[in-house]
Amino acid sequence: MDRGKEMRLLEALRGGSEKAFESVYRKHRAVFLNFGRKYGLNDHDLLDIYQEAYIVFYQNVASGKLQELKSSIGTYILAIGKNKIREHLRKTGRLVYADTILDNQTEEESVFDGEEETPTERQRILAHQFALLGKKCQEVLKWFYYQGYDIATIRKKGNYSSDNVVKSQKSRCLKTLKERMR
Amino acid sequence: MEQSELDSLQKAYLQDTLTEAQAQRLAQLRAQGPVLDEKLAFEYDLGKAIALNERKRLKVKLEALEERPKSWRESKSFLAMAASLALLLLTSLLWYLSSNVGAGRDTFEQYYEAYPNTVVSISRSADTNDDIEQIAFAAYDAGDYSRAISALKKLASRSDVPKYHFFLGQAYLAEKEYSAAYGQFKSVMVQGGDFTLESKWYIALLFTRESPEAAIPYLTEIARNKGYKAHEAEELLDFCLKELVRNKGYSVEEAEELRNLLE
Repeated sequence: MDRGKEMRLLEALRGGSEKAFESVYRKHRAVFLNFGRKYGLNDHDLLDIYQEAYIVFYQNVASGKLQELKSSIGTYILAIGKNKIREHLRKTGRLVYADTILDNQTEEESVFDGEEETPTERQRILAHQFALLGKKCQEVLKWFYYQGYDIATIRKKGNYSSDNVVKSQKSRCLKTLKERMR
Repeated sequence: MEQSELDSLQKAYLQDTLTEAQAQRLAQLRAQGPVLDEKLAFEYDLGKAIALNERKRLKVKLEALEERPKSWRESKSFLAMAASLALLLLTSLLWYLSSNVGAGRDTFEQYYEAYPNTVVSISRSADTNDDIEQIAFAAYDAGDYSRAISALKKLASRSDVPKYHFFLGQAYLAEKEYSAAYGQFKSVMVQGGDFTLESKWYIALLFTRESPEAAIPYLTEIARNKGYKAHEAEELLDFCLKELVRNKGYSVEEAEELRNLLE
């Protein structure tokens, strides 16, 4: 696929397109499963790993962390997935396979090294309290703290009348959250 | 310090993309006082917390795409999170006990009704003419679903349009051929034209029979649309969440959490 098309797909994903979310997921699924089977993993485990890798990829796009691709989307997802396969093999004691994957790791893949961080207690409680906030509050905080949108973008997306209204809304929501955390 | 500098540092901090120089600068600023330090730490944790919720929401979406419903209970992070939710237990329990929608009834049968033929006007000579579309929908209107299936299959194979798949799905449903019905509704969804929302409703209904987890994303979308079957979707959503508690090993607060995340 040409680079322009892939960049448009990234933009669609960042914009929240359900169609792009599903089509990218389906497009790379079979290649990943075929790749993973070489390491003796069953399809059920591989599908879980693929989904985890896809979620990491998608979250990197949604949060703005991934804005430009040095390689294709498929390579990016595969790179994340390879590290997840390695983690899985290590956890299940199949170190030989794990080392094989590790030895063949490219420079690009090393970007995705390491296991996902375990959430702290405060992050877990915050996650729960966040889910109990009203829809508007969830929306504005998600746009700012998760998707990295600036205030002007949030004003447009949320149809707010001014930047100051966005700032007040954000600060009210933060205050509510902090009070609930006490 | 300029606000714009702080904003830029904070954004990189939240995305875990601080350069070494930025990290040093941020450390300097944070060392100047506990107020800014705590503000940044709180907002960093909030970003991580939202990402955590998003991961769970995305996992549910992907499981629905795979039609492979699976409990979140297999997720270690979710279990750990669930352990911290004792405060919610009382209110959730009240919610659970206060409503009895769908409990003890065959929910599918309760909510299922065949979709009326809204696409083809039947002429008096439908039984005798060669117009297969007329034959298909005349049979459908007359409740002769086996004949309707036969004709609609031909139509769908000749012309891959949503209305034929949708009514073929309807005819299969009426004949209790659930798997075949599901396949037709899924075809409509993939095409994404007419009857997409209606197909999602029938897919959700089919899932409520055995896999309430898989029904939940569909029902949430229908309820959110505030249009076709929105009210029924709200009711079924309640039913499905309770089913997770009754039969799928979810705790009350896990089910409530799922509802809040998807809304």
